[in-house]
Amino acid sequence: MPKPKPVEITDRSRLIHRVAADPGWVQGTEVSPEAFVPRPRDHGRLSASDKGCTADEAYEEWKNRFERSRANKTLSLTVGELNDLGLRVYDDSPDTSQHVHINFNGDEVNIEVLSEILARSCDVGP
Amino acid sequence: MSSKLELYLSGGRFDAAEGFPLDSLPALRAVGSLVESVARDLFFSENPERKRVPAGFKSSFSPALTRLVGGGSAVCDIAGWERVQPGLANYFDDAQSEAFSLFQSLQADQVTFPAWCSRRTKKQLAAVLGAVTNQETIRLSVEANGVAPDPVTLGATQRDKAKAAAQAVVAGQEEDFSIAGRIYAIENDPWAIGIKVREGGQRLRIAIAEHLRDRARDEFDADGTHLVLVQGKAERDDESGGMTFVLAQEIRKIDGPIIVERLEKLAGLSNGWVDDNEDSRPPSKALCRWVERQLWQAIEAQAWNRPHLFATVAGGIDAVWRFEQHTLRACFTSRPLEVRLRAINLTAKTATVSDSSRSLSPLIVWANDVLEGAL
Repeated sequence: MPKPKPVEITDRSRLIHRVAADPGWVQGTEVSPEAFVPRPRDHGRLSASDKGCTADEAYEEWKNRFERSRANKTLSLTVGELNDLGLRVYDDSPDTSQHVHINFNGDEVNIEVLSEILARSCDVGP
Repeated sequence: MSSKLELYLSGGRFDAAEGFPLDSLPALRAVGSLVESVARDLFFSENPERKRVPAGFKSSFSPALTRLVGGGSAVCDIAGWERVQPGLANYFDDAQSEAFSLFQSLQADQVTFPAWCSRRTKKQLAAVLGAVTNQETIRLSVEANGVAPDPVTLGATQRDKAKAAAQAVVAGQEEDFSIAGRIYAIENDPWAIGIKVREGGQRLRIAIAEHLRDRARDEFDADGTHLVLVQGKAERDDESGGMTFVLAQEIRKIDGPIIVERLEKLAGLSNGWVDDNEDSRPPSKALCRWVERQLWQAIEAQAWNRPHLFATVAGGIDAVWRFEQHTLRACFTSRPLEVRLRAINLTAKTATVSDSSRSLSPLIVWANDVLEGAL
């Protein structure tokens, strides 16, 4: 089945969740900026979960997709917080999936600075 | 760890001789003595309550010339740490890196020595620098596990400046000391504190100046959870290298989370800890031990707080200090074994990156400059 064409999420109040591992990237309420750095295989598109799901739901879906994953924390931000940093969020999956991506591609993007701001601003759950 | 120091000597006598000039041999011996002295400093830095190094510390270290290419210039490989007793090997492994970092720091406009650097080591350093003439150049590189950072080259001007800085300190009698620990006991008349060194259980008794007694009492009453930095004057036995603590003149609180337990947790991560992807691996225990030593040196030399510590996908460790408008990240990697600082200014939205180094100490001046006193 062809992948759906990415559609930008414009509702600034929507929560976007990243799933991360404690202790690797999380220490108490502090988060490593590396948790918000796209890896080479991401091609500048950082995976996250949305489609209106809660942090708990995002985590559950993650565990179902990656049974052996050690990730045990969610890092949540609003679309508005990302937009204010010049980052756009796209729904890029079928309705049955919560997968979205944060687009880090662009001339003005300073990943070093942005990843640090995101690490400072996200809410750590559960 | 398989490692060696490479010394490259050129100019002057090395241009004149067909082979290696015999009157240059003291330079090689001085490098071996410098590494031994640095290892001794590292031992006492971690074991401040000890007055002597363990038996066999010196005798099992036998630096040897394992390769010599002469004629016009000389390339000398110095190795031989393999025979060092297993329990002491890490001091000698790290001593090579720290000796190399000492050379790196001599390239700066203003020569600063790390807190652990004793008079004895400065004397040995001056001996190494004095073993070559003004017409000659000395270049040092260190290689571990087949990976080597850029070598350090010192010309006559830098050597003279460094020698003067080292000799100025050598002339002093008392040394400053700076030790992190938790106060577990207080004595009065005369006033003294008992501290458990860093986050471990090694105990040390230090007399304190009278004006510190209330502060010491406050920290003692903090239920042993507070880490403090105790600074003052000590006398060092030039023969053994051991310290006698004369008087603490400052006690200040050090904030931040526990380091040792955190590093153990990071070392306990499994392969594939990020997204179940096998290219993510945990930091090695050797890297964690090296990082711990680097962090304590920075904390004790600069009164920095303890950082938050994170693993990186590539098996490194990030130490992160966060301030209102700045972040400082020390990114430690194992291959090559080095650290690089990243300073992020959140107001200007800029990131600045330091050169890489085999030790955190030479980068501290850079961090203070870039962060404009935020530290």
